[in-house]
Amino acid sequence: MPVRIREEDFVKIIRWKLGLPGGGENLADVQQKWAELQKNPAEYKHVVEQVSLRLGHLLAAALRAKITGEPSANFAWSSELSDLFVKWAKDNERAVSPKLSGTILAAVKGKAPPTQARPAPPMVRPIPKKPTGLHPQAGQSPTPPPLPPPLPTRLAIPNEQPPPLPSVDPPPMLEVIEPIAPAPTDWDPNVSEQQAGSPPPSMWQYKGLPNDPEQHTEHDARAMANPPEGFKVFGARVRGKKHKHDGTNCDDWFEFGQSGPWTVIAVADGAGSYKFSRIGAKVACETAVKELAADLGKVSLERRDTVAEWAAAQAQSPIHYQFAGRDIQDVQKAMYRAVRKAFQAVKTAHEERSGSPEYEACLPPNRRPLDIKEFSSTLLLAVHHAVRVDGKDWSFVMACQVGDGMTGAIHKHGTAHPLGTADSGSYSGETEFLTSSGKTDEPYLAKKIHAFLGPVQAIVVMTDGVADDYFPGTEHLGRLWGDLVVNRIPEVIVPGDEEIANAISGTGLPTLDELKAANIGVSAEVIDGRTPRNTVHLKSSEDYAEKLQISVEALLKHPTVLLAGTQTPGKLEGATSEDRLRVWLDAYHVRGSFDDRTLVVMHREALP
Amino acid sequence: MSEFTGRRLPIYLVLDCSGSMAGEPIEAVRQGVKALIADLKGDPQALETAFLSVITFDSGARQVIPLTELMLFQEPNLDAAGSTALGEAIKLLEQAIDKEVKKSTPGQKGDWRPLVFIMTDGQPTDSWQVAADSIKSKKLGNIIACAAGPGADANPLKRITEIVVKLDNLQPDTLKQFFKWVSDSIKTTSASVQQVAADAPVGLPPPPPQIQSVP
Repeated sequence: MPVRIREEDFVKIIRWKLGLPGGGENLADVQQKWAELQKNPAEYKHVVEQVSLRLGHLLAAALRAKITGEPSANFAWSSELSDLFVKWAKDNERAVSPKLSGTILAAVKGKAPPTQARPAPPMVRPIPKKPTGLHPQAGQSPTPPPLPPPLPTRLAIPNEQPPPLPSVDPPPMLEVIEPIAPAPTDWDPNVSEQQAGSPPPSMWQYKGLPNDPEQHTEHDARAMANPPEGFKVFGARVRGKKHKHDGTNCDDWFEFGQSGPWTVIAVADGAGSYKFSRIGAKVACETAVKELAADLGKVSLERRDTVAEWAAAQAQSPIHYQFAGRDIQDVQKAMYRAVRKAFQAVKTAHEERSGSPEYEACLPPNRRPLDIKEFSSTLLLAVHHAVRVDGKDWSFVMACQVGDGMTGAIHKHGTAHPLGTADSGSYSGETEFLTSSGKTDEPYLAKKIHAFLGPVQAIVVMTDGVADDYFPGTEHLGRLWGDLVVNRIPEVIVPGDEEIANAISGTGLPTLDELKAANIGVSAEVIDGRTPRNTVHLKSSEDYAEKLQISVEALLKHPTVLLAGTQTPGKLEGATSEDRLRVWLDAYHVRGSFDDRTLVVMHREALP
Repeated sequence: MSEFTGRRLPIYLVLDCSGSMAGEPIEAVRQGVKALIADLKGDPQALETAFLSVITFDSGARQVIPLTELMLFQEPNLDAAGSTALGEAIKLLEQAIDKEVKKSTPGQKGDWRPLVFIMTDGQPTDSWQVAADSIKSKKLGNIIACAAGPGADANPLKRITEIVVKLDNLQPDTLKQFFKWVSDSIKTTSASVQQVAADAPVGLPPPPPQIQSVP
């Protein structure tokens, strides 16, 4: 009969046995559970075997690092462990040394080590918990009313008070499951399932920037010096793993600006296969922000006190998608103009450099003379204006995009709303660019404009390098916001201990102590010129939600709990939001994701 | 390990295993595939995204290895005997791509455009024209075809794809160079698979001396 032990208690038991902290305060309780486990000798032996083997892999990684001289990036304390082992062997020369030599010899001769001679024993493992977000008996919790269907207007309607957090399911049983394969050689307890498909750290190389004309900086991180009242605006872009490996440029760019009450954001992604796409991205962003700031400086939004008035103004005509409200129409026209001007700027950039030997020399013979295609880039624009509706502070946002990437709004109540859709072909990477034909025509752009009104926590604008890792936006945009918050990228005011304790009491991390001990992240490698490579600890809102035993959606609806995630171990380095954003963008790992990454965040100072 | 739901780079190897390949040539092909895999395993991007499949053809055609991720790929046993059913191979290739390669939808991440390498040492012995026209018109992938050795006919290959290369002979060293070039092509194309306009031509590395481009 399987032993009933909670996963957390099992960890406590082993930690207690190893003499480590985190064994829990209630020693008698832990000791009793240990005795219970020992009542099933077969299971007990298997469990101990598996835990010891797994922990032994940590030592194996340390020894490997010592022998090869290549530090295991995921395992920062490797040298101390391997030194300890060596000391132990030295101190016990007569007893240990011959055994050590024998083991090494056997390894060379290809003999199976004694512990693996028999097939891997079944592992006693807790049943994985699925975050349900809801107590089974409580029934469906009320959700905010759905948004009105017609494309492309979006009018967010304020919803009721979010429901209280559900309490957790009954504790799981330990149950014997099918035998597991021996752990992979580079097994690291910090590596999540998701990272299992990635190559060992040293495979991705770092090469500096090339000596091409118009070198762009490898990365950038900036904040708006004078953001609109009550808001912060910051952004960062980084060179993707692929470009670092090949020693090519970062092709992304971002700009933002303020014109009276209007905040203007532009983000662009130069096409990887074209030589000067970074220049296209840069001039497109700079021009778009400049033009929009100038145009919108002349546009005042009408005062509309009710949701109904706004809904009427945001209605769009059927064929031309023209907004009903005259002022909103003006904003729409300003967006069109900005896209056209951005394209003009790219054209000019091409003309200015056309025929120049320095540039032509960078191209293979079959791509000369310099064509405008070499400046291909996407472009995402977003404008924001604070408004008062029903006596509350709301935001009016209009977004427009050519190509891929994503703009989104995070609603005050934690729901996430993509603003627009990416251009894409049937295969990956096939997208449209500013320089593709027809992308500045009104009929095309009209379908790419998206208006939003509602109380927001944040607006985010990003290139595909980030958007693709939170795909589809309709399901994962909220998780992106969650990730930014738990890593404390936006400056937030963390609730007090008592408030947190009350909010988390019904969850899988029911006490402040457990929360503060919970590991909700993974170690990520920093790929720069340094050797050995540094790592940073990056938290995941998905991991956090799982430990809390709630869904990510529920987590986002409970800001106190979400903000409490910043209190888990590990702090992202960086004195400012934009620095921390840059570190996060640079280091987070998703298999198959190695493009340049750019993200601009505009968020309310007081969250939510 | 949970299934990879990200964007994969599908690579199809379509290999002639007819009687004329028997002996040294087919062994060299086998070694070439093995070397290709080993080479790709040294490339971090390939490790994360490359998925490979092998289709062989002689008197018939079969997909001996379905699309499989690089780390789990085991090179196939290749035997050579029989005629050269290139048409069946192309038809099978089209079906395999249709079935295995994911298209981009609002809810699903599409794979990168597949890379196909076809190698034959002779003339097709079945009716291949319909299959060739079909696959060419559908633009299912970037197809690179190789006419290997003096007995190979480049014309049918030209009907399948613009990119046709010719190998002088079937010597082990020549085949080794070919597979090295395949590996380099995969790595180079990977660089430009990110963000290409739908019809942009794939930029390949220059072939080594034993391989000539067929205009």
